[in-house]
Amino acid sequence: MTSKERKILLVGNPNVGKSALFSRLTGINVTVSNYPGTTVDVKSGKIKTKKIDAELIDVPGIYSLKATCDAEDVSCRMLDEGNVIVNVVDVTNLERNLYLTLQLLERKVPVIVALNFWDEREHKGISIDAKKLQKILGVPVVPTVAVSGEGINILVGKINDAKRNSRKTKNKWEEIGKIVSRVQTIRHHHHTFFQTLEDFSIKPATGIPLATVVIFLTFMAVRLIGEGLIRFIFNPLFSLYLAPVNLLSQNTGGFLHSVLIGTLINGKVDFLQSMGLLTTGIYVPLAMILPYVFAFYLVLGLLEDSGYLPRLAALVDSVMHRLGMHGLAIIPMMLGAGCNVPGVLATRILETKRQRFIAITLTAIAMPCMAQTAMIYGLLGRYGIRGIGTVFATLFVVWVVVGIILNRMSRGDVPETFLEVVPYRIPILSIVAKKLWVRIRYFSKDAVPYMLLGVFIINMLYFLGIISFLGNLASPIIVQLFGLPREAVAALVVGFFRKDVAVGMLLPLGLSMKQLIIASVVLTMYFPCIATFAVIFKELGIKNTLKSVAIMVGATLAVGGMLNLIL
Amino acid sequence: MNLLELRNDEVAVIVGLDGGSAFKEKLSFMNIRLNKRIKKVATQPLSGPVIAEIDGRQVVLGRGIAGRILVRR
Repeated sequence: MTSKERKILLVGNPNVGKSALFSRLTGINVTVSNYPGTTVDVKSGKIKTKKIDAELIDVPGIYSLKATCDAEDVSCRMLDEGNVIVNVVDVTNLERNLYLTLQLLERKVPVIVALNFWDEREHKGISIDAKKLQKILGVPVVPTVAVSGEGINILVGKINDAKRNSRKTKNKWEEIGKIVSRVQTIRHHHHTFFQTLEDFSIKPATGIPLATVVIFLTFMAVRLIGEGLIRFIFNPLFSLYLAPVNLLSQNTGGFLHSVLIGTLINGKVDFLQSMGLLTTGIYVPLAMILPYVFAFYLVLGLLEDSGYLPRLAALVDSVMHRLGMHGLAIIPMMLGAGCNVPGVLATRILETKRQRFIAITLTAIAMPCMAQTAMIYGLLGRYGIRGIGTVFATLFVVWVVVGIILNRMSRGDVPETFLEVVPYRIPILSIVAKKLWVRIRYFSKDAVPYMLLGVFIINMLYFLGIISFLGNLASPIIVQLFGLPREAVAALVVGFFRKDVAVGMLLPLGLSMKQLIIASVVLTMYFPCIATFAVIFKELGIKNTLKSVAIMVGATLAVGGMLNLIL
Repeated sequence: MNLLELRNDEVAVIVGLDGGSAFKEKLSFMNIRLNKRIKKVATQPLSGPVIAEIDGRQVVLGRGIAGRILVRR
């Protein structure tokens, strides 16, 4: 990114199809980076044609320049850096979108307007005279359909014609009313299928049953896709991989063998239990967790881009408010069920620090990520719903109770809900795929190295006898309070690095169902994995991170002890 | 009357917004302005939010906000 390079900014309200347009304009070379000095992700890419060679920047959605700049939002600062502004307007919602357009025209930067969702106006009974609008606004106006690519070439071709207007409008809404009455006519039309579905999915009597079905189907689909990937792709791959591993195992010994290969189980390499870097260290993240993370984010991406999630947020809003959050917090929570790292990052959509603290703490304590879920199934699967159900029911109760307590004890209030419900749209697969790729990268970049590091450190700690030392220290809690055997201490220490490996270490100990339930709950709650911890630290700062961790440990001691008494 | 008192599926005209200029500007982002027609789509249970529709777009409004949107049938 050179400062001399020409910068084109993509600016518009939220949910006007900016991302789709961005993908269309830039192709594959997209980088997501932090805006200097902030934690806001900014997408940028290249536009290169005969006439243009510039950087395209996707400015996060804004409704009003004034409000955005008063709040000292990053988007406002970004606007100062642009050489050209492409103002993306949702043509099915022209009136509201023009407010930002008029504000942009007041600036001293050339503007070009893209009338996006041009194809949707027809069945919504809206007709718009784009030529007339161009004349009134005094800058080029180009109809576009980001999904199909219609109008994109014309838009690119006209970027150099973008005009500086610098017109000031005193009473913007009055002006907008005049413009709209001149360029737009609306015919009466029958509700489309999607519009009927909009009402159906947000009215509580029909929406709540639908939400239950959607969530159930989501998790069924994740299981099906994940299991399919493991059975047909990853397990066959790893059985091919077994041959070179065995060869290495026969030709190494001592320290090297125990670090790389680990312990042989019945004289053979066991990917689940050997605990070597090249065995368990890569098998668990790649062949057990990654398929589920992939499946989860694929299904969630489709749900997001269909426009369903704001409806879910509306339906759960009253419950979430009692836990100190908005209904919208359901989104980071669901992301956290894939991997806590993107879940924690997604809490940025919540506007207050208080909400984010609660959402992050609850995600870390009671939202098992796919890795944890997979291992809970691995440990307790043979006990069926009695085992697994108890763990998840306990975590759900913890989520609710800790949420209520945090909401009562933290100062301040949850701000009133004020949320746009986007219309339903058919997801664009290329955009879903891109988003999936970014999230998978988070997982592989953050999770896999920590997993390897975790396995390595544990092997070292064993080797040096530190595990048994820690075991002695922690045994009163583990043995007396939780009713677990002393050998489980090692697993709990590993849990600091990777919960999945930790749960895997419990397998050979021959624990009873009750002990397995307690161990699963304790492992999920007491501390997030080290990758999540790093992100929490970055998001909350030291003081609140310590507070959050104290809550986790306190809750774990209470819940683990209670389970030991009750079960 | 305010938006809370409107029945579900009823349409009304906005006749007042009970709040300061920041409040009014925020609402204007969702096209909630004087003289606009607003439809109450649903009310979520357990003192949950109100769903309203303006120009064919739905918006989720906490009850505190909905109560400050004054309407006439």
